[in-house]
Amino acid sequence: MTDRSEAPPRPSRRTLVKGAVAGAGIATVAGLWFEGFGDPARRRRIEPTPEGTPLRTIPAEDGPRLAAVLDRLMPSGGPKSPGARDVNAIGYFDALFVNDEISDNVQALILWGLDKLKRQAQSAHGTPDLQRLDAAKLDALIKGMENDRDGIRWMRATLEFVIECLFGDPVHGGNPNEIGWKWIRHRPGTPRPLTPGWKLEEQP
Amino acid sequence: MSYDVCVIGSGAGGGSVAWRLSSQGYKVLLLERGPRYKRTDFLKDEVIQQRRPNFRPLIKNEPIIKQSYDFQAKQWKDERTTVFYNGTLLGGSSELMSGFFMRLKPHEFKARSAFGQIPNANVADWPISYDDLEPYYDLVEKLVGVSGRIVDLPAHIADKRSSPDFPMPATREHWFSEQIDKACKGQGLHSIPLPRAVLSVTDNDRWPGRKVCDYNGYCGSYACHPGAKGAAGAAFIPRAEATGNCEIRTRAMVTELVTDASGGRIVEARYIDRDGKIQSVKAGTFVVACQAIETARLLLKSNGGKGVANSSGQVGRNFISSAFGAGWGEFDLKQNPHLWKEKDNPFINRIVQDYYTRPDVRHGGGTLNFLLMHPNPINASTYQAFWDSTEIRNGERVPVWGQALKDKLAHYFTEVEHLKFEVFGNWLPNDWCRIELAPKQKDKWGQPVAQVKQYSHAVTVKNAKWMIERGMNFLKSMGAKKVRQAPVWGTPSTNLLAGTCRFGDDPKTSVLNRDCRAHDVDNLYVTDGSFMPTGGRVPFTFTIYANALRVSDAIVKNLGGTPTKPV
Ligand SMILES: Cc1cc2nc3c(=O)[nH]c(=O)nc-3n(C[C@H](O)[C@H](O)[C@H](O)COP(=O)(O)OP(=O)(O)OC[C@H]3O[C@@H](n4cnc5c(N)ncnc54)[C@H](O)[C@@H]3O)c2cc1C
Ligand code: SF4
Repeated sequence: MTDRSEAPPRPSRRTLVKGAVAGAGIATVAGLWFEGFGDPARRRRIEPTPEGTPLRTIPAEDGPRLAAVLDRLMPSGGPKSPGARDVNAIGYFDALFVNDEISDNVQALILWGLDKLKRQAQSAHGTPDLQRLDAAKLDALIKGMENDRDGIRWMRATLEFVIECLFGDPVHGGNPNEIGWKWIRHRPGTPRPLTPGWKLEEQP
Repeated sequence: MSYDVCVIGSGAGGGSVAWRLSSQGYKVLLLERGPRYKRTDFLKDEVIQQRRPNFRPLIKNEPIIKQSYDFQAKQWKDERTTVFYNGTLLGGSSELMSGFFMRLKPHEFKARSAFGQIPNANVADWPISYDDLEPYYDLVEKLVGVSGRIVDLPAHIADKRSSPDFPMPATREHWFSEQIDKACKGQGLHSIPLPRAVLSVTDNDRWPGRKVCDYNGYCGSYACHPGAKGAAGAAFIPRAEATGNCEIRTRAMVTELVTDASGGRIVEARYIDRDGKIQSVKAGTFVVACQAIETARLLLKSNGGKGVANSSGQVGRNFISSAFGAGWGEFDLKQNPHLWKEKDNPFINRIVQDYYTRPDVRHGGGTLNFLLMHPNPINASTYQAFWDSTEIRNGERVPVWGQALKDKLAHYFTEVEHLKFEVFGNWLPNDWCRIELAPKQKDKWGQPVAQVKQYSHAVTVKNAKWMIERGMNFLKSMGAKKVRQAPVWGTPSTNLLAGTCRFGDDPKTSVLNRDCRAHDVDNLYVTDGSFMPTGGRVPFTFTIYANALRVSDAIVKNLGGTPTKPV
């Protein structure tokens, strides 16, 4: 006998739905990229790499390449309309790659996408240096990432952290002088954190 | 040391019981798997509160297996997730709720008698009535602190109340609230001020150690700095500790309940402590409140994997939710510049319950709840970039990026204000929406993890669409431009979880009796939302609190005591 509970009744076309989120005022729908809490004492976190100083985790030659890609995903437009370069997103990513609160998969995914773009630039334009392509050429390569699922996942992960850098509290190393917030006229929640690198301390 | 009562889980269902029993003189041990944080550290920082792993376990250590049925492949498909953990910290998910506190209507307690059974659903009456629960709803309003305002309503919509008014006035409101009132009036609908578990006043005698809401808008999904929100960690746990009778152990992951040889009494709870050591606790009475999924998991894997309280085979069955849709519309900020100032009034607090039931669809209807979009900009922007994208390729939403994204964000944040609605409705319990132990996947301690089968009844989905249509029409009637709806949530909303250990009078078809004591086990109670056979058309937490306090009184009586009047 088949267990009646195994196969549910097939929904009609009209009632077929996709996707789950959450109700009652839930404020986070994405959050695909995070590891949950481990032992806070063992967590590793470094401050974003300041602009103009050498990157610490991203290989030197990849820094300008990734920076160029980030700035196409969120183009810089100066203080009134900041983008990735205006908020030193590459320095933020440099720190992100050793932050073990962020899933290793995300870091691998972002680097996988960068490698793919480099290879495509090499074969189409004879150089892996994405920063040397003009905006239209680089955009065309990035657009190509939309063609498969992994590419789309790469785009989401990358964009999500550019957004975090742009709109997170400046204590986390992005959004310098609140330029991201000023652009969108955002009023931050209160009370705000005051110390760079602060974290929630567990009580005994 | 042996305790009178061991409470497992410190959220809405557990924190409240720990306070009530410790205040009655019983020695209580409260075990919570999550960490404890200082309330004053709950700064409104989106990166720390939303985007870093402070309130959830590691997916690589403790995944939950989410299953959806693939009708083409004819099999259940697995996905690893941690979203169902909601809030894993002292105070549980209640720390992160929005505090929308609506009572169930009396007919919800007799859903099967009132509306009948329908094919492929397992609707059951509750063994208690609204009148049994009403005194506890009233108590929760006073103890937890529910702000609100009574207005004239027809009898079928109005709450049946034993006290004439809320213990404090409603919170400040947004300009939209009055517009909703006017629009409702014009359409013969009733605009109801939504009760909120949010303090609109500071009153140290009634709500000690807590302060009035600071109206900063970072509310749902955020732990509350002033303790204005009626979370278990603000409203009950400090009170419990103040009795001197309640000991709290955090980072205590309960893995198993162990019965005596007869199987009729729990003699011990085992947990893994913060150092990874296995500990044992003895108590006279055990109360489980780990939220619906983890409660079912704990009972199923107890007693060396044989399970406890499951002679009915119903543990884990009839998992339910209550939210299933949303929509929003835009209001031009140039035409309504005063809306910029309204950012100081982030609460709309209006519900419409004129569609609460439907003559044409049994168990249909629901509540429309109006709110603003959440202000946290990282989440809003990722939503704009991914989930709001209309281009789907290879089954994935193609993100919006580049200048197009920047234009979209500028529009979203600086050109318009959004009025949003959410739908709460009846999630029909069914055989295919349930919790099991995953056959293979174990957590980092070698324990089987929960496997969540998700399935929505056709009526639930059809009704969701109907309710969303009502909401969309309402937004348009208010003059909203560019009205959008989220996809119908065909799987249980991850934050509103109940069922899995339903209560009832028949031990063959229910896990718990009317006092939420296990039919099979004399000294085991379940006080989170697991007891609910049906969930009604409102979010659950008000009902979970009220029921947990009702059950606390039953426990006191069972222990030979007489519960005193708490307020
Ligand atoms: C963002 C958000 C918004 C919400 N908004 C609303 C709202 O507006 N209105 C409303 O009514 N509801 C709302 N809710 C839902 C509300 O939070 C829950 O209904 C309520 O907290 C459930 O209570 P509970 O006791 O079942 O579970 P919880 O409050 O989650 O408590 C369960 C506790 O048990 C602990 N635990 C689990 N397993 C174990 C174990 N094995 N050992 C030890 N401890 C364990 C957990 O860590 C947790 O602390 C919201 C939830 C979220 C996340
Ligand atoms: S202060 Fe008010 S808005 Fe902020 S979390 Fe608390 S109750 Fe919500």
